[in-house]
Amino acid sequence: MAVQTKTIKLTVTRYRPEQERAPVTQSYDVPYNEDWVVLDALQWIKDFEDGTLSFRWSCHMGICGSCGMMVNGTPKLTCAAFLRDYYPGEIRVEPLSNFPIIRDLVVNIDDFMQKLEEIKPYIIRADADTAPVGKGNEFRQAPEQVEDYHQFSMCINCMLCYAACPVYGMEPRFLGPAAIALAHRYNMDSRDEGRDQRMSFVASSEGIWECTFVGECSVVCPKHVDPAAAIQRTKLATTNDFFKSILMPWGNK
Amino acid sequence: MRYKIDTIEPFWWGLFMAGAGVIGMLLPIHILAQGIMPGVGAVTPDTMAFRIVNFLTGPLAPLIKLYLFVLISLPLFHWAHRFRYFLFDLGLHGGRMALATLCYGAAVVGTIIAAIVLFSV
Amino acid sequence: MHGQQSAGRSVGYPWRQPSGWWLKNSHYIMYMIRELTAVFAALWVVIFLAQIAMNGRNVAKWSASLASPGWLVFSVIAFIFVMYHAWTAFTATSTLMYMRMGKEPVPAGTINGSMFVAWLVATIVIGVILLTPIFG
Repeated sequence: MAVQTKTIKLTVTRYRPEQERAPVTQSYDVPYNEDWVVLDALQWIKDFEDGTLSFRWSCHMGICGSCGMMVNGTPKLTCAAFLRDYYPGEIRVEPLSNFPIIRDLVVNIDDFMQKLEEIKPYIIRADADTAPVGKGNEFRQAPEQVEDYHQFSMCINCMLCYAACPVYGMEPRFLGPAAIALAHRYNMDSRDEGRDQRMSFVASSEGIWECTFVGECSVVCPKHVDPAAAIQRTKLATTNDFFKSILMPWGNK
Repeated sequence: MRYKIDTIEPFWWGLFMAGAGVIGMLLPIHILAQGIMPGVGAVTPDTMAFRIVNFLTGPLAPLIKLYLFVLISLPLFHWAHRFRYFLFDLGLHGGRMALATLCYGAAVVGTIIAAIVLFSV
Repeated sequence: MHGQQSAGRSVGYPWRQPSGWWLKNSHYIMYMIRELTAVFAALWVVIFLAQIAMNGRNVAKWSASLASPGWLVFSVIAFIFVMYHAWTAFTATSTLMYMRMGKEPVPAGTINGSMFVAWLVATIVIGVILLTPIFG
């Protein structure tokens, strides 16, 4: 006796530069499974329907940050977007907004990678040369000091926040949520002495000041980093520095 | 400053935040007391009018005028900063300097007018 | 626009921000409304300033201004926008300010709550001054 398999329709962006001038869509009827996520559906398409479909993925468990895409217009990790939350409606899968498309669902993230490097995402010490970290020279950090920066260290570089940010969508020079959150993570780390080095970049006109606190970055973040908070707090710190330097100009060398 | 940045944005943002505080904390009761209650009869317009003139002419007038100056000026700077970025959000991108000059300039002009009006009332 | 810079290799199909981007979800729409609150706040204080300029010390003129139906309607609209501003500003305080005194960070609810308390105090104090005969 034939059993009717439930299916769900996925409409996926296709872009093959060698054959298309602009992105198009292609629809597939994928078997519906209660436990499946959108990534499973994409892999089923690639395995059984259309081997030419290109997309990034890796861990399938929400920690590598590779599988970010737009699912029905919302930036999501496709390994965390369950088919059952959309069934029986159609699921639209598009590449992350605000990035150039290399192919199908794969976006060019060079801009983001460059920005991550530029904010100096590592502990900077004034005495790095004379007193390197090692046996007998350890940093002590109390649990509450870890608390100060911990949430900002949870970023998995999935770029959902960049896809959600309308400012980045309009102004590609904007440093962006994740990069600023990472800078804030180091600025708040009691072991770090590099805040001033980062600030000349982070607090520039293309840094925090482009942000208008739309807040969507923090809404879509799968790791609850709250980059919006990192940005507003950096604005406050910079503004304090600015007014202090004007009203109390002594001793700021 | 211990580090250099390529902008005086913190200055405008500081005024923006001060304006946000004035608007959030002080404006509601003023709008209620001066704008809504007389109109619905919760307080008679004559009484309110008499009180306002009293405030502007009584012994505490200088203090009250200073308060009103802050009440009027800071929201203008809040508007200027926010509106400038609101126009960016709507897609307006050319002439950033011109836009900033127009918005902050309007707030400065409004502030000067407020000072003149309050001083001479 | 995105994707225009190139080091000799393809950077991909460029991104273009649609002009109606803010209509795409309710968060963006509420954000635009929040931004608009500044316009109504500024307008209300500007019109108040105009009243001071035009009415000066004339009680009768002030009475007419305050009784004007247009002023009432505009004030009601401005009030709604300004209250929304207050709500968004106060609930954003904990996002803006991180405070740790001792071992525990100050909870977000406490920080935001104190803003509402401050608002209540300011409203009562100014309300008493404006609406009661205490100051004449």
